[in-house]
Amino acid sequence: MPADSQTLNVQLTWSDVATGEGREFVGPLPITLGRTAENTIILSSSRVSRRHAMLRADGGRIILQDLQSTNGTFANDARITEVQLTAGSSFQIGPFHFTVREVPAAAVQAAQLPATRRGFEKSALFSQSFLSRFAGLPVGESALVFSHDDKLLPEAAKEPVEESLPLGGMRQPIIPINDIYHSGLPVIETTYLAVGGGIGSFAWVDHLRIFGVPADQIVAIGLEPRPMGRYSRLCGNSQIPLHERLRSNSDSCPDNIWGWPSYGLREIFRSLGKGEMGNAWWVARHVFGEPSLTYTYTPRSGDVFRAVDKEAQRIGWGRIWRYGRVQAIRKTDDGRYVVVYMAPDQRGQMVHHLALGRYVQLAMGYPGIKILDDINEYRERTRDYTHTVNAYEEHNHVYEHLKKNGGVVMIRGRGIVASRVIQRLYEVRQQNKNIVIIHVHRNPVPKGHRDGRAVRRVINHVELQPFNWPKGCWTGSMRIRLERADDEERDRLLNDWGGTTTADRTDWQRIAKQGLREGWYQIYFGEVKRLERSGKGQVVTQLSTGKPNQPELALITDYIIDCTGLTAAIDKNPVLNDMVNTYQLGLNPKGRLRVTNDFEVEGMSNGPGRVYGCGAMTLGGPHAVVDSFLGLQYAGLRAVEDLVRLRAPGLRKLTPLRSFSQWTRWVRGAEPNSRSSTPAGTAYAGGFQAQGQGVRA
Amino acid sequence: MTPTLFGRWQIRLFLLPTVGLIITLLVGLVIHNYLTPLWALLYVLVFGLVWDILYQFMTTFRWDRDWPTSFQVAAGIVEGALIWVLIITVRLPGIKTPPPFPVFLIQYGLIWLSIFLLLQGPLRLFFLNWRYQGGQWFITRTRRVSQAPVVLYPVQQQQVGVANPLEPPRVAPAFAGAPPQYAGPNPAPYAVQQPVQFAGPNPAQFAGPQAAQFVSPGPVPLDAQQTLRAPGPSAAQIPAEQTVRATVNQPYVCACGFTSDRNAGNFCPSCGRPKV
Repeated sequence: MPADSQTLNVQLTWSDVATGEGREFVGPLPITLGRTAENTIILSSSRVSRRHAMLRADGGRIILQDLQSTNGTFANDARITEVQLTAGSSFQIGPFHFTVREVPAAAVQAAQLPATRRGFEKSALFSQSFLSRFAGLPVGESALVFSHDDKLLPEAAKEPVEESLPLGGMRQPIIPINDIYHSGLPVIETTYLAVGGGIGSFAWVDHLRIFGVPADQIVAIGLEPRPMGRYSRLCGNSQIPLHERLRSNSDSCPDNIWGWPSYGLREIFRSLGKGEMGNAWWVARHVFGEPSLTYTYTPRSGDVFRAVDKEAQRIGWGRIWRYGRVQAIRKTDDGRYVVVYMAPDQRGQMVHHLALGRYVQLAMGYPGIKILDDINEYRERTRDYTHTVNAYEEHNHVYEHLKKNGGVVMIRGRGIVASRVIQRLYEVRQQNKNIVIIHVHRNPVPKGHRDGRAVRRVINHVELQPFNWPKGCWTGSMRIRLERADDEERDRLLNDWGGTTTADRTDWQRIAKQGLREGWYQIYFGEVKRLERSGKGQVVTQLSTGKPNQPELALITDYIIDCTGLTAAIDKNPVLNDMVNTYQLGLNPKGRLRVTNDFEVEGMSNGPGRVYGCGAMTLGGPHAVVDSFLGLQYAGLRAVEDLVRLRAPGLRKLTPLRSFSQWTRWVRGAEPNSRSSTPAGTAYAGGFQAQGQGVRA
Repeated sequence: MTPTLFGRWQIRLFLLPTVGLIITLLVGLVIHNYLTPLWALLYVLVFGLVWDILYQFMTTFRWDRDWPTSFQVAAGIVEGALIWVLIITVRLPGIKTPPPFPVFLIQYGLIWLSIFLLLQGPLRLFFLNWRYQGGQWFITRTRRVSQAPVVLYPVQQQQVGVANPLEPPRVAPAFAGAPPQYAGPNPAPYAVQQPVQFAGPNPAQFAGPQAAQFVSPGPVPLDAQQTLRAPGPSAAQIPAEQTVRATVNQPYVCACGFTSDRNAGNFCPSCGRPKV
């Protein structure tokens, strides 16, 4: 046993492969890493051996030792058996990239007592202890959270949810129905209640409508009247204008549950109709040749938005959707659920409303934007929100300024958004040649992920993949394998298949190649220590590279664009956080909501009532591609089929013939036919109006 | 649609005896010989089942585990060519005299093309689930992960059975037929909880830095209590039609049969009909 004076304390940082959430471990050496529970840090991946590697102290130095692992431990792109690590250097085990740093003993004490930082982050306790067994403590990740008017708020500005709830704060897990009726608050009652109002809600409602539920039995509560409202804005901010292509498959059609005709087919016909033979040929070539002969076809964002708006019109989304910022969800004592939301009353003041529903679907998407810790710290310290931006924020001023004056831009993150931003900068660069792009990565990626016999391709230290998960995760063998796996295997598979990737687009590769050759695109590796503001208003990034010949770098840039993405941690979403706490819900290995294979939220059933989930909040469950168009449709389909099995009102099995006849209605643009509960000609024919007046004062 | 092996087999077994058979009979009608095209169809089916195993094996070399359209076309050509070569060289049983090449080409080509086109779209219009199931019509579905109700993570395990008079593990309210009992406000989210300490590695477990054989560190000690999270009742326990009804003051029976409070809302909570 080493004496205390010799004990070295280190901080290891890495990120979860599937969610991208930061992980941190602080503690004394020695530290073992491996797949089994006996290790200090448990790494769930088939590329990690049971006892993979060990970090130990040797006379004040940190030694990384490979324990004869099958797939090896890598440092500086080379497989090692034993190597001395300097502070800030990184090493790789399977899909995990670690950065190591020596810390004083006092920091260990602090790190082992993760203080609750803010009001409603208490639930983090659960996920922290839970996740620590698997992959270290989640780092108190910085995030910008969407506020009620959908502007971005710094995290500190969030208000604790329980303080402002009606019905005495709704502290009971089960609300008596009579309390709701006598609360004096406006109440709407419905059978099917969609919470979120975005693409996930729309996919579920679309299936409900096509399976036979009339529009007046469905209510969707959200902030945007158009199902793709927030998504289209985030696309615009992250440099996907309406003519640019999304990263989505041709037959993932959120406006058409059958996925046919696909977007590729529709674009071919539209182009032929307009006489644009060149584009028609381009689409046909890419649909046919993808992904082996040419890169994958993806639809134009504008085409998708228009198609979804049309489908929303067809299924009566205007009668289903209503404005509301959801605050909490509770079970009622009559087997239903009550959803509390803020909406304006007749005088335009925001007041509490209640919605009662028997079947609830949660589709709240990403609650906020992930922002790198050092950038967040810099922004809070200097109040400089113009020179450091997140790619999902409105940041056109960066391109406008660069077009006029030129400058140096730093890009952080290596995903698809980074590729888009580089493409946009390249376009701006055509007008002003004095633009230099500096791309900073935490670690090099010399080799792509491996899964069995297959390897993911890598170009310029970025892994390539047509979509955000391997394609077999949507409909193929990988989807079925994940669905049938148990929790631990799901964790392992998601780590093996996940990770940040970008699309294999030849135009982007040409831009990078040209930039590297001409010197206006540069790649740096290292851990950012701190951002400073220079006298000229530029941002200085202090980078520790971990290389012996040049351990420190200072990069002076005009702008920093953070392209690390969105966050979906449960504790960042006050509604889900409150629900998980109130009902003591279990979380899955990725710290998200635990759902069944039918996407029912486990632990939320209430007599006949059911709650379903979908989207990023369910990652780590039966489906990997939860936040894709097709993944949301799949979640909607499975939930609706489960409701058919439960004989929920209005729903009937979609037999092959009914399916086809509903599709013909889609082609004609006719509303889905349903056994309406309010026959035409009654005083309640206008379901939307009537329900609006049904509000109890 | 990215096919699975069972998907490939089911597509062959369902489409060749239907679509394939119709085209084969039409070809037979034209050439006044039904037997030879029928044998050829049988060989396409039988050989195809073996080819599918090879195709599925090939996808394991592809990161995306997919089967691009171009591969589909190439596979169709190779399969057809093999059968034709075998017909004219080996004299496959049942096909004594090889048919003229154009006849075989038209039969095989039409069958392949119609199946290819069906797979690209129209089949999905009738079978909504088919494309999500890798081309399978029949698939065993598990509704739940079997071990899901018990979350067996080590941190939680340690707390099971630990007698704690102050806060016994709470179990989510069960609905076994009786109306739910209100168990009082749930203190857990609001009580001040001690942060769970991660105790870190225990240096005593290692005899020295070079110790290759590890002693299992055993359970990580926790200072604070870990709340036990239990799921609700499984779907199997709750009959679908069972409804938990609240006591009502003035009952209103809707046309759908659901009884609710007359003064509570203007709509039937069960079917959504307006209360009249």
